[in-house]
Amino acid sequence: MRLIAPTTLLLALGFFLPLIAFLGLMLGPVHISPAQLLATLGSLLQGGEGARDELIIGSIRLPRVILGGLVGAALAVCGTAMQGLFRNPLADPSLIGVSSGASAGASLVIVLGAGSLLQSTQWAGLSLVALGAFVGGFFAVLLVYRLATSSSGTSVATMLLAGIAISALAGALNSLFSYVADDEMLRRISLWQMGSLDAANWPRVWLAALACALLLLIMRRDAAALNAFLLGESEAWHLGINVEAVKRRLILLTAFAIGVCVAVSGTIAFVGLVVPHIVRLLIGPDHRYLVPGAAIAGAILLIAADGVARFVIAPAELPAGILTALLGAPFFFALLLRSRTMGGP
Amino acid sequence: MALAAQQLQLHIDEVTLLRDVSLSVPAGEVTAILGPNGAGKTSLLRVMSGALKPDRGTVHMGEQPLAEWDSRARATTLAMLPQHSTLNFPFTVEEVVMLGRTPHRTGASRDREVVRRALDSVDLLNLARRSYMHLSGGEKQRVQLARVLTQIWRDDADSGERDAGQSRGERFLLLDEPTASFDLAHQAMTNVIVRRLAQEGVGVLMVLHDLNLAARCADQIVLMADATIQASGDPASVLTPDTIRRVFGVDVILATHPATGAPLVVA
Repeated sequence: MRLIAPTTLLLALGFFLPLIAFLGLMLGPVHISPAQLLATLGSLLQGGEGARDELIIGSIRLPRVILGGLVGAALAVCGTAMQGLFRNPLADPSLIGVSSGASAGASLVIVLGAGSLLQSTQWAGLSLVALGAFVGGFFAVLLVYRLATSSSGTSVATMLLAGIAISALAGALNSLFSYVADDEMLRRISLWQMGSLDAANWPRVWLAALACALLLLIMRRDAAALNAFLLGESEAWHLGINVEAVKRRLILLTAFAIGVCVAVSGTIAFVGLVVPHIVRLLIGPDHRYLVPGAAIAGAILLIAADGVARFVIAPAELPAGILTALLGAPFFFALLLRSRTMGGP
Repeated sequence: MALAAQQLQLHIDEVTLLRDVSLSVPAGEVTAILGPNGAGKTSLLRVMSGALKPDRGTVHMGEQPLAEWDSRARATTLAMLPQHSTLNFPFTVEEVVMLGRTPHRTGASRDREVVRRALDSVDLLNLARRSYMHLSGGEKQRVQLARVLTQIWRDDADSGERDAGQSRGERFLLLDEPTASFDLAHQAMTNVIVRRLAQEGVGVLMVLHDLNLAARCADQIVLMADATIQASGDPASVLTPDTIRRVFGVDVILATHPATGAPLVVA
């Protein structure tokens, strides 16, 4: 069933994305009017970078808004891939251990590296903590994937269970690191876990853009395969899909993309779960439209959440991850209630 | 061309699911597998579809082992309808049927045409835009039947897609209890569809539970019990009171169908 024609939704989303981005550039402790913003963007394009507004827009707000859009899109597309792969509309990337693995990796670096010189080392705009998160998340997924793969292929049911086990293990490690951490470290760990875009810079934008481009390219090619997957794995095989190759490709791709997202912005909750779900409710489950739809909707949601996060308690700001969870959790409850009244998920 | 299994052996853990099973399904004929629950019928179907690897033995489609077929060529030549579908996403009926066109590269308008005709043949054209999730069990199974029909659909309009040397007819369709949730009218419809496919040169292999439907519809009947084939041949030679007692452990009376002349089994 669909409520809107897919192309109509894509057009509408494509119209709103630049509007939201424009609003996101205006918001902040320093007010910049639409006219000033346009003028600043124009002079930035011509290479100007000295005036106050140019500095604020060019090196603070523009990378932040673009990073928000890219991370939101990547999270939503990865959620779409996982829901298709697990054939479960309630799946999301954290199911395969990536979020808890990343948290453990980040906490480890925060606790071990405190006070050492390494703490301020940067690589491609990423702090050591971000690198720890990427490595932790990626390895958690690799472990889950290895556990679920035998000579007869990868079992998604086993992956789900292995994901729970790895998440529990990573959660325990995380608690252990928090236990030995001092107050300063604890604050950094918990802030990091809330997810925020406040460390946005241009290198991070390029990294997220790379992940996003890879995701969209491969998902575009595999959209028909994911549609066939929804029928069941052996049905997809009968339709000529190389089931094991698709699974391996999408799991590794998700691990990489989510790893990058967590590294540049911490763990941002619910975008991966809720956005594909809303888009599917509106236009149906056909991945050829669902993937671009979820990508744009995810970008809009995270740019908007980050805008609100900077606005509500200005001049201070909230972590954007809190806002996406605040928006996402009630929706999730409604979803559960709905599927309960309809006789099970 | 035939879909042929040689000396299949299949074990899962300590349980033997198939023992020394050899079976040839010729193109253009309907073969029905009958047998009590747990006889290995579905296992045989899954092995012959290529989805399940046997521990020993081979499955050939034509000259080539099934496993060596290019996956897209295989998918347009061999389709399988499983007993249950687990689709849990709100596709419309026509979107589900359209998934059968996944291995084809015939263009959207041709795909829509095939989908429309397949839906028409299973009597579902009026539900095309309905959500699959809201259908009854029998309707869902008919949608899935239409889907596998579009997967191996070939007619005069497809001459361009055919490889050299591959005749229009030679395809195979495996059906696992296709009529289990059908009402009387749609059982008869399945019979008509299957016979028409055979006429076009499709080799049909299906698991059935209704002995009389099999007698009416099949050219060849295979009786399975205890993971192996107990008897096979044309309906009249296989469906005898003796064999039925041996395979099913049930005493039956055999009559002749007054209209079709096929054997009629009365329990």
